[in-house]
Amino acid sequence: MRGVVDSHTAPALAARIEALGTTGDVVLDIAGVDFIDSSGLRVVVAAHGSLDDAGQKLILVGASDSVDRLLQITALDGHLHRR
Amino acid sequence: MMPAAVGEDFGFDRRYEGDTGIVNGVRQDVDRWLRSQSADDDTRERAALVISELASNAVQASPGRAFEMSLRRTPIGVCITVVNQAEDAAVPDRRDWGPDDVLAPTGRGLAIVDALCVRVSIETSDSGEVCVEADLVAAFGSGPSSP
Repeated sequence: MRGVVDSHTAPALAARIEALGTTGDVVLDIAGVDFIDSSGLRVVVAAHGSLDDAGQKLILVGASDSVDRLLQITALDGHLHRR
Repeated sequence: MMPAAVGEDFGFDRRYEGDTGIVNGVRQDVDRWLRSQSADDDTRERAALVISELASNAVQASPGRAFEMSLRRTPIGVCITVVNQAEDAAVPDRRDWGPDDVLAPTGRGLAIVDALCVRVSIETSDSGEVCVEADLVAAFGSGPSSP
């Protein structure tokens, strides 16, 4: 992933993740993400929930300092799988 | 983008169309203004998040209807105001954000704004206009000062 994930681009991200299915873990490399807001987090949380229900994991890799900060603000850092 | 309504040294005032495609442009406009005010990186990063949440809320509250955004320097930083003039605009979903809400599907946007700002108010006028005002602590260099 790269660029911006906001209310405009989040639906496209959701569609991409959904297309991957839930038959295995999904690794989301966000090293190239310049900006993400709650719309992007909503997609990440939804994918985390769907995969968790299916016994799989959504794994975030490459979070920048600013993304880390947002995960801390929303307390998601303690819930999402990171690598 | 429409031109600023007042001199940018004084503040930032713009009207935007109500489409999610505009949100990235709003962030960029605000960032340019903050740079012109010599705001530091941390301030600009926090402001981008607040602006994104408030602009997205405004668009989603009444798609296709314009909203106005203004920024003013204050003694502690910046006051960000977003006014949605649609008569039927939805009031942003504001609730206490607790540990049980961490994985909730919605409500995270205003929780982020609340966490980043020292004061957030949401008011609805008799005509249905929704005004969200948020005070962000900000650090500025030696650029233009508030009037």
